[in-house]
Amino acid sequence: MASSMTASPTSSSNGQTDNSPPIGVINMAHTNKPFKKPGYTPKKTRNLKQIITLEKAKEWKTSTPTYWNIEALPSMTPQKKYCDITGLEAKYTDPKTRLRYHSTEIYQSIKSQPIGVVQQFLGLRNAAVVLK
Amino acid sequence: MDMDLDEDSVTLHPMQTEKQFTPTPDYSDYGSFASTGTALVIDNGSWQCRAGWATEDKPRLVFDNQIAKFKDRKAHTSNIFVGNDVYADVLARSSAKTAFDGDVMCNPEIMESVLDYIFVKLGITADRIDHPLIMTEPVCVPHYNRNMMTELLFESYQAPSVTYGIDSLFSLYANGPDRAKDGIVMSAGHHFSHVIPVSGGKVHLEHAKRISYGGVAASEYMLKLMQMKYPTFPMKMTTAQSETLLINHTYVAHDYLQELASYEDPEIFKTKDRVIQFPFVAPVVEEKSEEELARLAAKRKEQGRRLQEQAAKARLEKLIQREQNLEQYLALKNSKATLKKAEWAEQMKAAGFKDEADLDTVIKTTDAAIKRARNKELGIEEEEKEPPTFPLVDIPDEELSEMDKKEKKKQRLLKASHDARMRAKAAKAEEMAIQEELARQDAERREREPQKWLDEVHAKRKELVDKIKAKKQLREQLSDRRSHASQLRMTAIAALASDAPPPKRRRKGQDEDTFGADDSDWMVYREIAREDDSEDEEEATQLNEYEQQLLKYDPDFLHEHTMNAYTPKNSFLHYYTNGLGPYDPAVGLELSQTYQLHLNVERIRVPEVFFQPGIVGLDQTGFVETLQDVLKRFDAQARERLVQNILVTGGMAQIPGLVERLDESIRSILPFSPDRKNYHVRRAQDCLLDGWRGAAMIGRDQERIKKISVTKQEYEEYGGHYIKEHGLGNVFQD
Repeated sequence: MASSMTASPTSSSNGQTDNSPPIGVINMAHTNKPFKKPGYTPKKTRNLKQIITLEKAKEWKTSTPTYWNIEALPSMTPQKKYCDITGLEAKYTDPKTRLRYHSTEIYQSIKSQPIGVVQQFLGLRNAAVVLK
Repeated sequence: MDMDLDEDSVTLHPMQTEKQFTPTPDYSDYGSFASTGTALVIDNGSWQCRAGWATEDKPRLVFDNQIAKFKDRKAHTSNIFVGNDVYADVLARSSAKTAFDGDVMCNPEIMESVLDYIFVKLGITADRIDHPLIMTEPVCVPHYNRNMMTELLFESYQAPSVTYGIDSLFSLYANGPDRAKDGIVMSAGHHFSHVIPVSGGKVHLEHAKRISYGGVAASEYMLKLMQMKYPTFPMKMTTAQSETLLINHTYVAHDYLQELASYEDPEIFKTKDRVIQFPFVAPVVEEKSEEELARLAAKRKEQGRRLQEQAAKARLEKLIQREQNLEQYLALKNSKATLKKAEWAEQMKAAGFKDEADLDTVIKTTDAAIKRARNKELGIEEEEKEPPTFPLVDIPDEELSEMDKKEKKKQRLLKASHDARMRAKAAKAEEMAIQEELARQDAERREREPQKWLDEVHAKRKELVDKIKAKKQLREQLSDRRSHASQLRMTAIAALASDAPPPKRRRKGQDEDTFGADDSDWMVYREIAREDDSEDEEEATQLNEYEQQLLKYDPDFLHEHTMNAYTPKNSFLHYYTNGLGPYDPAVGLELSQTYQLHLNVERIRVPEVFFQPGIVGLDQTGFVETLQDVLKRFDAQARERLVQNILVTGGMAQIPGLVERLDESIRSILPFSPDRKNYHVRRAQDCLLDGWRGAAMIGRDQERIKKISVTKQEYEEYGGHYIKEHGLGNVFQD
């Protein structure tokens, strides 16, 4: 079976033709794969969310670790606040935009920001207003 | 002197536009592995795939776990490039895909191409993969996904057996097999980070935790931060580039708050700021030799001369034409005397004249034009025009004919506009004189009482600045509908709009509307008007004038004292984005500087998320708190054993300072021990390859492999999700 296709998989042998891949690259679409059993087609792709919904439907012991129950829990310690613009420690929050800021200089710059930019800054810490 | 030197010698870190292609080696020594039953080890990570023979000390192939499937329209070929080969072609680069969703393999078709590639690269020529396979899989991978993988391995490649394990546990094993019975692995990976306890040789996945932050999220966060910091950056930054920023320039702060504060000090900032230079093309300035310049100048001159000549020629021709015309007209006029009236009228008509007056005016204008042209040719300046006279204006209408009356009307109009022009000119001159006089007086006063003069200018400037500021504040308040200023404005508008006069007045019996009697009444319009930009401009020029004077005459008044002063040193936002290099506010950034990123606070901000996920709004425990959480689930004795062996591994564990920070913070969650010997934190010897190495170590023990692997027969009997627990992999529940 393998002898019928003798072309070497490496690019060096067919590096002369026009549609050959760049040197050092194997085009897997036209490479001899003797180790494969023909006739097998892989399963269809599903995204992880779908798969987890499927898996969740099965019965699981509560003690069994699963992909969805090993996620770290919400933090119980008080969160430090950082400046949304610079990342420095934030002592203040602008009541209008809800942006946290470090100093008056940064506050001045916040005041001149359009609302879209403000939302983008809030989005950095997942606090932007999402309209649905 | 030292400082100057520092400022000039900024180290630039060049940024590559894209990942460079380096070929993955091909192997042709399969003969020495065929029919030996040597295990094949594949660390199938969502970032890199590492594959090789278990008997060797490192993987033969290490490549980015991706493929590119694309059609070349020109050559009419379908292409599949795998791994780093993707970087060899532009089209491939843009169509790169991965088999992974998060850290889980979800696309078996892509996975198949990757596996094909591995076996081709290893030079396997047999008609099946006759080697026990050892592969890594994510922590608590869903059965569905494991099933996909197992099916692929057995159905497509007819492998004899497969063993799955978790990469970080293999890494623990690689970093001392005898110590792998008790310990905690903390891995900071590509997509996620994990904390996994192992106690008494058993992995306690039920106590393990996954934190949703890793290299991918960190790169994305870095990218977003940079995009927000440089909204007008001339290039589009890619995640691959922000990844190199993450790998090359970030570090974990020992004490985050203290480190943050240190960035505010310009002197320390200077040492920590990293400047990333993106490639850019400077506009080409053609350097010309003097000879060439001279030649060009001569050419230009020659061209100019030729044009002038042409123009002169045209002018001359026109002049001649005009003179001929004039001669004809004059001849026509003179012929009036000699010719019969009817004949003459005929000739007039033929020449296109209505009557004699028409002919006269044409003769007059032509003559004037010829004179003007001649004068110009000879370089004679035309004498000043005499002020126009309006002789008819002062003559009473009765003395004039109908024609003259019309003419008088015209002259009156002309006179009026002429007079107005004259008056405006005079007023302007007067104004100029007054201004000059004022300036002179001002200068005189300045010389006489310099201090007093300066004080006055300062006072005037201050008044103006206050006014501008107050205006700005009002404007800001008006932009908020609930502010006091806005409400006052709305009341005023409502009062103006209502038909009923204010009730107070009616009570007094005054029905008469007295609005406007008092000048201040009109101020209400000012109150309700939103803004007037024209005044702003005037104020700005006035302020600029005052400031220019002060800059000139007050030695204590420097550029940085002006209202819109912008000096790099006193503005954190300036040096945060543009660094502390030399900067001229008047000129702005140089071209090369517009292609620069300054990486400073981000250097610690991005990796800090591992410890404080709240920074990116992730509501999960950080590394240390998660560890504390995990430890709580064990009794005191076990806890003591576990903390003696804390191993940090994964790609992100390479970030400088991460292990040190962990070491420092873990102390705070453990019982006090003066000698700090009650726990031990270490970094894996090779954070990237130890997962593969640990798996290879298992793979060398063929007896062990037989015990823990799933054979094809077992797969057919129990299903694709079936595994045997072996202490370095997932647990099994049917």
